[in-house]
Amino acid sequence: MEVKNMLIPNQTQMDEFLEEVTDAPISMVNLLKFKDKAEYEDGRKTDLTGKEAYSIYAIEVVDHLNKVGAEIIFGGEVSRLMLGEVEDLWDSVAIARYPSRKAMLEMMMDKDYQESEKHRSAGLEGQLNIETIEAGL
Amino acid sequence: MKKYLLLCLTLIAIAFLLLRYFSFNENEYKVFKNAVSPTPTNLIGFALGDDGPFLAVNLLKFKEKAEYEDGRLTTLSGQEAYSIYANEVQNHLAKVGAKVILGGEVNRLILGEVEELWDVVAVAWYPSRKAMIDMATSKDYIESEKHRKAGLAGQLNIEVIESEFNFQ
Repeated sequence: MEVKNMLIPNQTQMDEFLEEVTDAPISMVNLLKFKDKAEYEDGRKTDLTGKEAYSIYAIEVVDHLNKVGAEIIFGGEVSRLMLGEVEDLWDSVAIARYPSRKAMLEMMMDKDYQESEKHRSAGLEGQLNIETIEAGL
Repeated sequence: MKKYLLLCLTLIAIAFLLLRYFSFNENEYKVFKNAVSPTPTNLIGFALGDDGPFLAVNLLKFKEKAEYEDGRLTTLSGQEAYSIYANEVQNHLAKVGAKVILGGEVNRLILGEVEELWDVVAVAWYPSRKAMIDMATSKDYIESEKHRKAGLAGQLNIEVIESEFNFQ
């Protein structure tokens, strides 16, 4: 099977996301792959690795999340696969819980968030972001 | 009024993201394979790893209909059979000091593409590798695991060491 990491949503994903701006809590599972060297969109020079640039975002995003009532459940470094096979294993996994999709949108539209996000797109090669709802498994 | 604001917010979000979308290149497709049992590479990695606390991030795909290895007849769906395991495993985890920290049904992908999307993401925290081995080799666990194998088409299990970013 195939998998493709991306930096930004495609049109269908965006439409679907906006279609149901519900009030149910969601947990976003982020599987992250970093660039070797950070590359900023504004072309600034940098010696940071992709992971280092992303770390700036990761630290700053905690406040942005808190502002909309969201939180990180955990973030960590991928050490290996225990089951399955992946051609190009992700570097990190981070899970954030939002009170609603609306809260997430609110955060993304915030000017301060967009400033922090520059470090995200500088460091990130691509990712999967899987939206889950709490299930009584 | 509230509706109007929401509509505005939505339109701005679409415009913003569209702009971003068309200014980036497409990433490449990579291959992956879900599995029910570990490969030799999986096992060697597990054996060689450090013995600290870790998280197991499970991306699960269920069979349409449950199939038990002992051939028993069942009308359960794959997800229903797996749910029996998921309920029972809570006790097995607790016995070795481990716990489930997330059980979520997959709604959709917001970013990226996957040929066949997983059904559920479940994350468990283990105090050590030894704890996981103790659980996996206990007789009671092996009994519960029959439901896991009956229901599961395959999965990825990603080992994650918390937490490089100092998110707190």
